[in-house]
Amino acid sequence: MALVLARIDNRLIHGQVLESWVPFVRADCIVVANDEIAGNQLQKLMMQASVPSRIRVEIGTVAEAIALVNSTQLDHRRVLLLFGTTSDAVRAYQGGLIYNRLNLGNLQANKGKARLSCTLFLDPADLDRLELLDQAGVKITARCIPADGERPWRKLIPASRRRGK
Amino acid sequence: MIGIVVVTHADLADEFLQAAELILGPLNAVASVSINYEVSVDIARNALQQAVNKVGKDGDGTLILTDMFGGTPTNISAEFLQEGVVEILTGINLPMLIKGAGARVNKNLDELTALLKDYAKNAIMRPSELLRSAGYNGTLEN
Repeated sequence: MALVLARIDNRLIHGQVLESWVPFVRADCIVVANDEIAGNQLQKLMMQASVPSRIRVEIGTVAEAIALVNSTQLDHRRVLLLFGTTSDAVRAYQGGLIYNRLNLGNLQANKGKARLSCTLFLDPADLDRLELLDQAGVKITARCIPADGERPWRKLIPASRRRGK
Repeated sequence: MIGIVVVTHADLADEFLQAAELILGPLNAVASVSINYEVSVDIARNALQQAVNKVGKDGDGTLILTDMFGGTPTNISAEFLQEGVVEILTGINLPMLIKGAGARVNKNLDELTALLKDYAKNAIMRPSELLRSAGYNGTLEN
């Protein structure tokens, strides 16, 4: 299995992923790791139906995604992995679903979170989780669609909000 | 590359383009012509002519996507119809535009137009049918 993209995107499978990222990374399999979507039958069916049939799609809980990615089921697949939250990403990583790079796509929020880019709103707990992954050696960058530039996540944080530095 | 011009009532054309670029990033050889109520037919025709010239300048042809068969944007577009050079599809939807932007690189104008006509129709979905085919009665009761 080749993990061609690991991305946090609270919209999970949507237009940007299907029309831009899938062709860009030439993925032939999409794995969604998010407990909430795993329990939402309608959203799950709609997302599955939106994916072209040549692409395998697996939508499950974080625990199910860890088991799937570490099994032999996806051998020879080019996997695009989607998390809905920073928490999904950390739980997966700590559970043994290892990725070396992490793309920050969409994390919109209405209140209680600071806007760090056009599409990324993070609170201190999110920053702590990203810090943890960064310390573990994950290269984290923000890039909404392939046409956007890629920026290291730390560059998004205003100096006033950086901690411990 | 085949050019694409989106032509609609009000500002739909601009907004369709913006929505497509939000998903795909900046697009080459794509233009929009939004026809507002205060715009005369002559001015609209002129704007469309310029757009067709601009996106079709490399000679691979231009596909005009309009909002509604029977409406002014389509009627004006029809004046530009020319086999192999300018084609029209009515009833634009976002899947039609997005697919068109990507699929035009290795197709000729006729092939692209035929493909998009079917693709855009098939892109219309009724989610309750998905539920029914998955064994639910069209709704979800938790």
